Amino acid sequence: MAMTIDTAALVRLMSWLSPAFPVGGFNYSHGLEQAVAAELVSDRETLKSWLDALTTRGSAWNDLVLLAEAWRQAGEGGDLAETAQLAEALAGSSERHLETMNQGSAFLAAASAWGQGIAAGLGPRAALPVAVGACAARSGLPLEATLAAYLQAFLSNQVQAAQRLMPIGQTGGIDVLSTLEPLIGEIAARASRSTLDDLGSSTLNADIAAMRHETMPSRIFVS
Amino acid sequence: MNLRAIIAASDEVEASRLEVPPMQRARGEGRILVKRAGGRTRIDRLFQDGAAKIRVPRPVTPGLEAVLINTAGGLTGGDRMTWACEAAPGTQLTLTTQACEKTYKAADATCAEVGVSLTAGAGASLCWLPQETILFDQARLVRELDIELAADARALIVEPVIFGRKAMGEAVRSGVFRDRWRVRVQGRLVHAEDFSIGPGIEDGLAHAAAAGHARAFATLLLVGPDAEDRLAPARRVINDNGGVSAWTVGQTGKLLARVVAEDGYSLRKTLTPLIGLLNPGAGLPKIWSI
Repeated sequence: MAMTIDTAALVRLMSWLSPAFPVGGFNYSHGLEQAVAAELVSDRETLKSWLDALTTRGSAWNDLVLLAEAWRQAGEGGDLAETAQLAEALAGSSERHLETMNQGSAFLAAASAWGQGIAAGLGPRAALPVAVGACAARSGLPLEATLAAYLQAFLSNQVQAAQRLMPIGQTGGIDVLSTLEPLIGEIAARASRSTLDDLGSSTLNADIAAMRHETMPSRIFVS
Repeated sequence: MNLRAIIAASDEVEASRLEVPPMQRARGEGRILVKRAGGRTRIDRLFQDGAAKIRVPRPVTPGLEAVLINTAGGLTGGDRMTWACEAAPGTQLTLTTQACEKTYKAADATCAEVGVSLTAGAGASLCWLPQETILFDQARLVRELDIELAADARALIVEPVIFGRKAMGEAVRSGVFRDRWRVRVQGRLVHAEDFSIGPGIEDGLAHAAAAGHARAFATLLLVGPDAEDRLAPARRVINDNGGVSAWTVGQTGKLLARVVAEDGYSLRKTLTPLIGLLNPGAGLPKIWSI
């Protein structure tokens, strides 16, 4: 079933999840830089497969579950502190922790332009999915569309990183993004019905790549 | 839930046991509480029920090593084991298992459940070093590990997992394995793990982002003031067989390592020196080498 969203909500999500929104997403490869160096990802097919795994049973899936929980808690006036702690505790390495906390905190600072109370209950620092989920709920943005926009922004940022790391070019990058579009819709719908019981990942090598990135001799990304 | 709350709740457990379910499954509940006495760690309270047994070999160090035993000889769907272990302030408690925990094919969709609750008081040191959990084809296992630490307690948590024994030619095509860890320091959540795979295990593991060719892995977590200092030597031990990282959440320093290996034998080749490094003074439980 097609998801509908009103124009004002669409515009808000486009602003918040645009690469131009000042959270510095372009600094982070989420371990992809190491995965390319280790030849776990080497062309458009292996990139698609890698991103599919992160989305269906990896860190990106967990982020969507956390976003959905934060959206519900903020909407119901619940306690966001537990969700914020869980999101921070789930980060799988020093750089993954930095990646989500720095972007989340920058997001909260920037989103305050839409009202000071938008991040009430979170304090100045929070993991990115919790920051986005809470602000979206407080702004009346629908959950499924927020999840889809969040996931699209993450995947688009990964493709941008891949274009700097390996020879797939713009055409290859666009091919990967267009192929992943149906998955974004499917996973956003699934995540909108998720609870914290649905947290779970099996992407050991992706998590290890994020750890090993710390000791890469020369690197262009922070994670 | 801390140990005292669990002990208080045990009367209700006794009462509910009277209603025998139609399919008799293995149940086990073991609890150990240790205290400090005469400069050593000694047993304060011990409780064993059903398939759960706890053996404490004669101590050779000031600390205490307890060996957890599942007398049912393995797990299958519907079985439930719970362990609660508490190290009072100033004690040193190491927990291990007598053998690998084998999880066999489940008869239906019901999972085997293992619940572990670990508590360490001020200045206590707690090591959770079970031998490998081995999952066979169509095994279904859900495990929960809840850890509560005082601000200056030290904890080393290690869980090795093997999918089928390669030397026996065992393939694990499907099943369920979920492993959830929640680690709190003074009530604040500082670490969480949510491993989940299934129903397709063979395909799920084979993905390049998952385990590739590996069929064994281990997760190691060290919480304590020396976590950051162990990072460089841990990297040298792990080398190309996984990854390790150290960082701070709240006021708590932690080190997390993930090791992957082709099989259980090669996993131990990395785990043995790594546990020795992260558990100075005590190293690997002796039973691991028997």
